[in-house]
Amino acid sequence: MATEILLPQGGQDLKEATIARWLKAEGDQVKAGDLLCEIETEKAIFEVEAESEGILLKVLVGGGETAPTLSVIGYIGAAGEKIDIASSGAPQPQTEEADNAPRTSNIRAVSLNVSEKKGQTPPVVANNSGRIKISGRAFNSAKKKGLDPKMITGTGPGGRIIEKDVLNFTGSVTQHQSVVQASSSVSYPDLPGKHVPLSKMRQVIARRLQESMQQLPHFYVTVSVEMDEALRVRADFNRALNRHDKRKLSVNDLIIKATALSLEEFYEVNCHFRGDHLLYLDDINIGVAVSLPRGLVVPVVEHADRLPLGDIAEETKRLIGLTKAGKQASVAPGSFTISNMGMLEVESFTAIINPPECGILAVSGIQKKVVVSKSGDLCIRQMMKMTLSADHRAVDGVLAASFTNKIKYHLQNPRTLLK
Amino acid sequence: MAAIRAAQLGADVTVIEKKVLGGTCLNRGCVPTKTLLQSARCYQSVLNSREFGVYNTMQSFRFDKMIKRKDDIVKTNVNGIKHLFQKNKINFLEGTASLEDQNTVSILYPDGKTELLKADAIILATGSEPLTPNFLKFDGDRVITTTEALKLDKVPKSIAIVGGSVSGCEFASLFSQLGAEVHLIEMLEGIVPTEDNEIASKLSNELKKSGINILTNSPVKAIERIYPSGDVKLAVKGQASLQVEYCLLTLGRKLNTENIGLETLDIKHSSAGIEVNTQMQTNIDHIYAVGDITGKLLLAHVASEQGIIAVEHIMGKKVSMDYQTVPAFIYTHPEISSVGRQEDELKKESINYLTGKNYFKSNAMAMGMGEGDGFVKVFVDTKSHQILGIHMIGPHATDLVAEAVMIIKNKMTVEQIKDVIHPHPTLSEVIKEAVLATIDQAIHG
Repeated sequence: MATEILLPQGGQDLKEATIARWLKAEGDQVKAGDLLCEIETEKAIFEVEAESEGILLKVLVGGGETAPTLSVIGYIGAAGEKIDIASSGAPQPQTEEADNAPRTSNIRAVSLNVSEKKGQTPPVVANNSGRIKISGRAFNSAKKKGLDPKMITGTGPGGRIIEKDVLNFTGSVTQHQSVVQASSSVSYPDLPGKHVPLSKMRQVIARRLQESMQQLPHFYVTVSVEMDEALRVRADFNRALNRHDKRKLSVNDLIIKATALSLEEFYEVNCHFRGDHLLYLDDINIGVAVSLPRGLVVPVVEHADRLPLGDIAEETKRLIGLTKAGKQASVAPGSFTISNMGMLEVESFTAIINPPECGILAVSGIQKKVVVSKSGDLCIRQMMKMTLSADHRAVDGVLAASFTNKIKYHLQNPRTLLK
Repeated sequence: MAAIRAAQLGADVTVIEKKVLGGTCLNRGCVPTKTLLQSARCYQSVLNSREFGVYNTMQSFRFDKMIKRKDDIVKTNVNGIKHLFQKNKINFLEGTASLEDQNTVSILYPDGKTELLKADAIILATGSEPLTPNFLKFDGDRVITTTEALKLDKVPKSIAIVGGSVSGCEFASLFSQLGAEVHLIEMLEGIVPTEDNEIASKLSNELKKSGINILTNSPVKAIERIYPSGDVKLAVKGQASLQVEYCLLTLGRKLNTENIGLETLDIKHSSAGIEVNTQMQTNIDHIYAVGDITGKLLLAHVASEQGIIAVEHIMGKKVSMDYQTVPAFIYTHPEISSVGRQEDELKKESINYLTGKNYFKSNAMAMGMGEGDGFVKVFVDTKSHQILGIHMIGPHATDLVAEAVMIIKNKMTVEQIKDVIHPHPTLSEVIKEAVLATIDQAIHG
């Protein structure tokens, strides 16, 4: 019997993914372990391996096309084997992708003057309720035609919509049901320039950041940290290691440890907002924002409170390496995020919280400044600003100030980080 | 101690220890504290050298060097025990032990392996830890116990010590001598309430004179950390709130009676300790308990003695533990020591007694040492002249008490001491003079 190739679920909430490209073509011989295709999700790009030996008999979802996770995207079997797509026992893929769509989505049943402009973002089908049984191929087809699967009757097993149902759909085919990501259906003036579609990843980033700014009442607390002692301790620590030792500390590693210790005492910042209540998380998992050309990715250092400094350094190197290579680096959800723009010579900035987290720390560059010492003299110190963005529904000013000042305490007393 | 004695008596001995040989006293208690106090005394004599005609301009110290010296001395002692174990063929296992059944001990090694060991007799000596009530927010960073205090890398600028017990006073004395701003906070009426009232008052005055802020009748209500300085803020009943760099909790000990299998074998115990008889047996004949876990007197020399008693009983000797003649002492400056009955005990029991007192300031040796502060107080039975109690505050009180223990243990009388020649000039003469003072026969009174 032919084996199905399923679109893997790359992360906990991921509902769909795009086939970036196929690495094998229909008719190719494959063995177990061969890479079949590259998948792109909102979090990362990864590869699907063949689990069995045989011929790639059929490709159901082509390169550039999107399908729900766990849907069938192809078949491997013996040469000449017949596959009956419509009645195959493939698991029913779910179209829940609109779960993540903005609440402001509209389905218009009337035709609009929405012409297919060059490079306009393809319309996203909104599904406001329930799951629909639809094959991956049919889903893509419906999407291409701008059709809402809810309007199509399925003739496949269990009422499942299969591709021919989409092609035969005699509803208002000329009616474009378009759903806009933003609130307007404005037609943009034709200006000279290069139209660049937002990748799947950037669409998701855009949506999440917008939600965050709109729904979380952000407020900000800034402190200036004297980093002289911390830099000394880091230099001493690294000097004792070999050149290529993965435990060599970066300044960010010190900040991760200091933040973890502060989240331990001020556990009320280590939380997720859940509408009508807060979840104070047991685990201190710190996300480290990594900026890549294709967008922002935030791998997570799990149990940052339990790791000694050298281990944190090793782990951040590992996570960043994987992330830069397009691989998914971590699976655990974060409880707090650090965004460090220090290396970009920025004096200060504020970051946007990653919901459902309730805080994010923006770390800026270290600059030599003239400061007034305890004894009242002028002296030069290496100062670094940190700004905490906090969700005021979960964190109030006093807590935010104490939490941020404890991070400052640990960085200014770096021996406390070595324990 | 017990192990070595047992080996000497011919037993096959195995010792199981989860931390370090030597226990609290050697590693985190008496020995390191006293060693550091010696360094502090040395610094003090440097500061006071002019009185002795010695001049020095470089009056500095390095606390990290003092700590290193302490660590080396502790290490030497631990190695000493290791050698004694080897010499006496004592089997030493590094792991966590608990009672499996009446004759078996189960051991958990750091690598996760376990082992069962059978024995004819078992002695429990798991000791105690510093007490850290939750509301006082111990964090091992700036709210610490004596364990962390002995590992600091510098002398705190300011420190609040919660609990005016022996430990509290010793550390108050230590850090004050090294230049820290010290606050000693006690919830009862006076510090070291277990000592003679007059002596406790005298100590309190001396500590205050040296710059220590002593607060009595002052329970601590709450502790919190202040950031970014990291300081500790204490809310003290009846006082303004206090902000210091460090807070040391010296509130007594928590006995290590958990997770050692007492419940499994129904060994009688409570939060006050494991119940033992005067042969150190628990309610199971061949299982003994010694040291802090018996909750008797939490002192190292008591624990050692209990250990010897237990072992000798196991090996068939007739023995019994006597708690009457146990010396108490405090290594503050000035030092305190005492043995025998206290004045309020004698009053309560309606015993007629005479008091004798002699001051160090009339002692030639104390004068020469520049340590004239303090006195020895003696109580004797009015009729028999038996010496009932000896209490001291002054130079080397902790060494001088050995003679006092001998006197009390042997139930000696004033007349017998009168016949004992004491070397001159030495501090020990103050004891003889105080004894003689009870019958108004002191020479240097």
